[in-house]
Amino acid sequence: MEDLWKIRQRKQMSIAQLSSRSGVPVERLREYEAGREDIRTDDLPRLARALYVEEWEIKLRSDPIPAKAAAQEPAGRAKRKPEGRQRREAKPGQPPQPSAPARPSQITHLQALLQRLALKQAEVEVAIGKPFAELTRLEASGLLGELQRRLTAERPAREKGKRRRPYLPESVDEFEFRYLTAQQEAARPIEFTLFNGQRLSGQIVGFSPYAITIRQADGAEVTLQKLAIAYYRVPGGEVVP
Amino acid sequence: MSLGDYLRYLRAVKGGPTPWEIADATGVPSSIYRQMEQRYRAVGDEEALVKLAGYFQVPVEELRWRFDWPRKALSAALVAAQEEGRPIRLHLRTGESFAGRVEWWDLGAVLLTLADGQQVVVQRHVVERWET
Repeated sequence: MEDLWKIRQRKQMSIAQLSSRSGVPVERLREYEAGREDIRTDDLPRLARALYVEEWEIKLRSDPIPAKAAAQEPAGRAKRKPEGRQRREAKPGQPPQPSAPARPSQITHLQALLQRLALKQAEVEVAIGKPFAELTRLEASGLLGELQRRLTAERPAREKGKRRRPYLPESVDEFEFRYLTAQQEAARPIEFTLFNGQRLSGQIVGFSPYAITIRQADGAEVTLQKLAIAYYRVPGGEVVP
Repeated sequence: MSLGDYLRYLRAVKGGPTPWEIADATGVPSSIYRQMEQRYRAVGDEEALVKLAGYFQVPVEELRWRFDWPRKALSAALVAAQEEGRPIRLHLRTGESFAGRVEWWDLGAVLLTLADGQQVVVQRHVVERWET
């Protein structure tokens, strides 16, 4: 479970955007995020839908937003900052910890890089003066960085904009999220075809990773489980980004 | 269709039980079930396959042969089609098929632009097979 403001910031959403998407007034959201009020039971599903998370992932009463986090408020659709591992600083007054042995995953990664660089492990071990099995985590990290830089230098630079996406589809769900967001904001009617052949049309009023709620022409709202959907499209052949 | 996508399909046919409900009914932990559906690599074991086959009322062989077919296969076809600008034809379990240019793909869906300019978002779990 996470604080509401933490999830919102992670999704690069401003309070105003969350309010617009969920229908929860800005002032109430501020109360929730400051931890002055529990999230109301009727607001929770709306917030979960708008944030594309499960209801149980949101803490009912948030810890107040720290000043540092408040200063980093996303200004709407801000560009996502590159995520990198932060180096952990040793606490002042404490002696540095002896470096732990290299992780098995680091060794595996090293071996994979050697293979890509057509290098032999035995030769590299001679060059660094110890076998991989005796490397510390820090040493392995340094060697990985060095090999990665070498690999980058030796590889021909890719054309700009032609970056290869990793084959890890389970780690990415943002494309459909963005698409649905665009359709919701444009209030376009969408036609959904379900597994059983049934067709339903309406404007998207909310969605989560597991469901999409639409408002049909007669004003009725229907929530479609994504699992029941075969495909959907904007009628009329309108191409949207 | 990979094991993950097939399980997702079976779950849809059964009315969309949650991983927690499946865990209660089968004893396969919800976290493992979730990974079996979503992970890039094969997750689970024979025991889990047998329990799930019983729960979804399908022959265990239907799950077993898909076990070694990770989601990577469809992803790789989508990436290749997208990068090479070739259309891909997706055959759906509904009996329909769509051929078009891949605009994006992700965990659950693929956006195709069809020859007539229409766009369609196909859910991955409905894709039975594909051609490029």
